[in-house]
Amino acid sequence: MRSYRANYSRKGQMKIQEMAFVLAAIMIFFAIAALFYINFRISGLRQGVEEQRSQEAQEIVKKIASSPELSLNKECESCIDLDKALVLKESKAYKNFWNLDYLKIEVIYPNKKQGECIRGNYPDECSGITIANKTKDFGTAMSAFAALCRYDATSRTKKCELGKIYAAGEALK
Amino acid sequence: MNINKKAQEEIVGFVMIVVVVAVLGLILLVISLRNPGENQKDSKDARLFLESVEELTLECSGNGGENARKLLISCYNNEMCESGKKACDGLKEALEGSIASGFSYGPERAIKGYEFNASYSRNSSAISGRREVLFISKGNCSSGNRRGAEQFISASLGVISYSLELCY
Repeated sequence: MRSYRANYSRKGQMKIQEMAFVLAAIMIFFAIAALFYINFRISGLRQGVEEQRSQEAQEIVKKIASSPELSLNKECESCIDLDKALVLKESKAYKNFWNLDYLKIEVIYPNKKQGECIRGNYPDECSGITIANKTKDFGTAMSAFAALCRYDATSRTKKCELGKIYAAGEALK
Repeated sequence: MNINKKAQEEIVGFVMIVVVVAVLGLILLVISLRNPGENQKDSKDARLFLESVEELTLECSGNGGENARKLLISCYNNEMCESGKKACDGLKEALEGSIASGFSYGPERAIKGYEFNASYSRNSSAISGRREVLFISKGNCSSGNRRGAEQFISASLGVISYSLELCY
């Protein structure tokens, strides 16, 4: 009886196997390299997204600082009027004005005595004005640099210090 | 030595594939690392800091003080404060203090150091012909990973550009 079985060479089979192994090894190598690259890119993207969110939050904080209720004048967009802020702090009507859980303005330079400002110790014996503080669990407050300006009665001029405005709330998340 | 020539050829082929893949990988890595703007990004924090610090009132003229922007121009003109202190020294002191208060830097912090550079030129885009007005460098800025911002003020028919670069 005639046999129809293919007569493959053993050497040829070995060659095909070798080629298959080499191809598999190359594919695995490429897959590992691609995984590393994708992981690297994704971590970069995540960092970028976080930065973007943080910048957006900073922009909102900056917007709050430049609102007419807090800003010094149109000439200086990054200036907060500290005298206005002190009045706002005392006004109950402004507690929910920005719909924030926490809003604080703090002088960071020149270094001042730490403490909350009230009419009795303002402006030299205190460093911060808390306009809103609804809850203790407000999370991490976003911050932005601002020039904190006030009228100096001694020199009868505007005096500006370096400060930060801190804000936390649903609007910033 | 009786070495199989075909086996040698296959090894050479495999090595060539590995070398080609490695070279391609290296090229991709270099491209991704050399991506412009990756090593030097604009920092919103630094920009807001510079915008705010230029309004800072500093005791120099004696008449209730003047802002850092004016003091930078006085520094460029080598002027003196009424106290006898050089305008540049007063400004340097204030900038060092305010940067230290605004950004915590150090070998174990995210920000390793900073460089503040103010220079005068006839126009803001001219790189050549710049005259250094004030340069402050603190901490370690050797890594090359920097983020910063630049601001400009006009002075004596030219522009004083000042920048703050935070080193990570």
